[in-house]
Amino acid sequence: MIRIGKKSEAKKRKKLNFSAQERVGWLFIAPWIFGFVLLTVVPMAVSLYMSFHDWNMFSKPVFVGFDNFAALLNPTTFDGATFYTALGNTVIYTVLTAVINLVLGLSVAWAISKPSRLNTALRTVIYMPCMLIGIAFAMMMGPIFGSSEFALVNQLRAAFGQGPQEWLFTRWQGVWVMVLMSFWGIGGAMIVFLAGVKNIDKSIYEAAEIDGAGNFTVFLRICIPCMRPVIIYQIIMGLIFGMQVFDIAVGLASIGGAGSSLGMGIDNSLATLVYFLYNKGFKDFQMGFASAIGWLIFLLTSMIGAGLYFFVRKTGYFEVD
Amino acid sequence: MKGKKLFTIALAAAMTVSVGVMSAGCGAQDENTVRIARWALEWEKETFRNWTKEFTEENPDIAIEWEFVPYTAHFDRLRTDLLSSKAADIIFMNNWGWKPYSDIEVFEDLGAVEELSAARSSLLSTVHGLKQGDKFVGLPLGMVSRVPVVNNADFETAGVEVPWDRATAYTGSEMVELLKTAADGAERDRGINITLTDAVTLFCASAGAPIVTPDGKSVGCNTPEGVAAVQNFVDFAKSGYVVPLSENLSGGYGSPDSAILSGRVVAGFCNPGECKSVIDAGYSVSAIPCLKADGGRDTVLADFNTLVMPKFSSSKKAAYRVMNWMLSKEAQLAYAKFADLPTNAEAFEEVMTDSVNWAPELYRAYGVGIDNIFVPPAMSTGFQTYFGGVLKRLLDGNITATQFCEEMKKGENQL
Repeated sequence: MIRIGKKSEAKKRKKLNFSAQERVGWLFIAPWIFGFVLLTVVPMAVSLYMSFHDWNMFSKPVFVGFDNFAALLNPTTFDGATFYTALGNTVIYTVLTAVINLVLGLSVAWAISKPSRLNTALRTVIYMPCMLIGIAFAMMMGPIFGSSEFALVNQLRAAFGQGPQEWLFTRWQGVWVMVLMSFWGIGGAMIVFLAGVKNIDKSIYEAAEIDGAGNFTVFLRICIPCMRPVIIYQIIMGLIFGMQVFDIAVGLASIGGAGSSLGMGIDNSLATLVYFLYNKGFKDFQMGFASAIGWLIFLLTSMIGAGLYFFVRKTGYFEVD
Repeated sequence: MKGKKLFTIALAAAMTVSVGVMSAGCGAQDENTVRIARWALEWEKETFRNWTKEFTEENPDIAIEWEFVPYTAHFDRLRTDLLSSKAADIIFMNNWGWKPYSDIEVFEDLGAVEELSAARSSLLSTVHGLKQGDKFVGLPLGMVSRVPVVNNADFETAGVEVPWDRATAYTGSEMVELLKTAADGAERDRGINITLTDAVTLFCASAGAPIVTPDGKSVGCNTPEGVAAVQNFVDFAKSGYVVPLSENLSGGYGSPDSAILSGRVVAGFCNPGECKSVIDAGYSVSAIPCLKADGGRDTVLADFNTLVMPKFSSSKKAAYRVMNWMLSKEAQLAYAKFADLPTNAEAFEEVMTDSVNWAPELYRAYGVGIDNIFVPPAMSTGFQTYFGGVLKRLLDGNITATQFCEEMKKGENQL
């Protein structure tokens, strides 16, 4: 005889019957859960709701359906053209910055991994630029990449008989200045890779040395394969943070020249997705539109991250041989 | 164990009560205290406080509390203050920051306030307030208008008389001729550093074809007059005596309001307050009339520092008295000494005609075209960026004046 009712009740009782240890655990993480729900889940839900509305924060939201998304994804609309320019700048910056951090960060970490006073000093020196805040760093680029004929790079151009170039305020050029700035930030990647390099089993190096492997071969055939999980992690984090680039774009746009009072640089030369979101939401008070931009950024970032994850899983790159 | 439990509960209760007490401490404002919010540099704070001391001495029943923040922070903070109904009673506003608030029904209709009728009627007839439809929500306190300001020493070196008392505006070619003589004679690199967006706006407005119409809803330069005005602007800007767009607001020529200090130009582009800064730096300067298109009308390009009041203000009666005083002739004359040109008609007349107290070589030029004031309407960030891009292509020679006007028309839907 099957007593379904009583069995499911028994299951329920079992499910709710937390042990004392489990209860304490839940109690400890309850504040975090509360904060996560209040400060992440609820705002995300509200912004999703707002993305289907037209809302200026002072009057009632007006439902517009998918109009906000349609305007963004249609390249023939004004906002759509701006969105695609911002997307292009953001993708260029994200991909190149991730590559720079990966290649240079790993190479430098390998080069200075051996314990010595010089290497310790180099680690400090290479990491120090990472402590600068983005806005301050961007403003330092003015005398170097500014539009003026007296900017450093333009003076170098003048030495070769070339006229001044508006690096920051020409479309598809401003983003290269942003990419160039990422060279100063390899210290952060270096620290992560350094930790990974130091965790590689020394016996593998010894075995390679016995087999007569040179330094470069050891780096290529031992270090990189052993560092796969760290490399993948660094790439994914680099892509996520790259998609959110904002402070250096704002800092560069505020340097001066006509771009300083004309939005995201002349011709959206310094437009990034988050900068576009910020202008729409907090300058133009189009919160619904800004929410739509936010959700598109989230979807794009998720797609990139998920794509990379499944690619890595499929090719087995998470596993260390 | 039981003791620990009781202690935890007591601690949580104490924290809750203290939060409640602190919140309650932010209580209701006294209705005779008027809070005024404005942006200000450090030196301006004391100056504004001293300005209103005269009012509080004459009206001891009213207290004034100034709230100063940096310029951009003022508009960022205003949004949250309005949302939380904690904004000041009197808020300074200008055209640059008005766009996001222009269709929000949160400000008092000052045009319907009987107590302010005297203030409204004292204004220059051509002065603009801020409007929302038929509502007059902003009282213009001061007029921010810029004209070319020349270095007297350079003009003397070049043997050119400073035309501060010229009665009409300059066409582009006339201005270039003047600057050419002065700059070449004084051996300066360029003639003038002028805000090029303002210059093209002025050329078009003077031709009766403004780039953006005063209601801020359409582009008006796509007409034969507008195209001609834009061509006048191009000829002026590319004459070789005007600092180029890339150096306009930064670089070796300084910014327009301090360009004379760079020693590389004979003229900058300043309002009276900015003139004083150059004078304080040791230069002798004069203001000369501004620009217009060929065959155009003398026009003043101006923004207004305006007073708005949120509907939820709890000190309205007191605030009206403060506003009335701020727009009185005496207060306006005192205000003009350290800030903007007065909007009170009598005060403005005095500034323009009293040669003893108001140096004519510093003020007379600001009155040229006062019967035709053009206030560039507030623009969205998208349109600002678009405008900059099209202007750059015009000045780079990639598009013609006609194409500029057509391109601007295409961007109309961003307004």
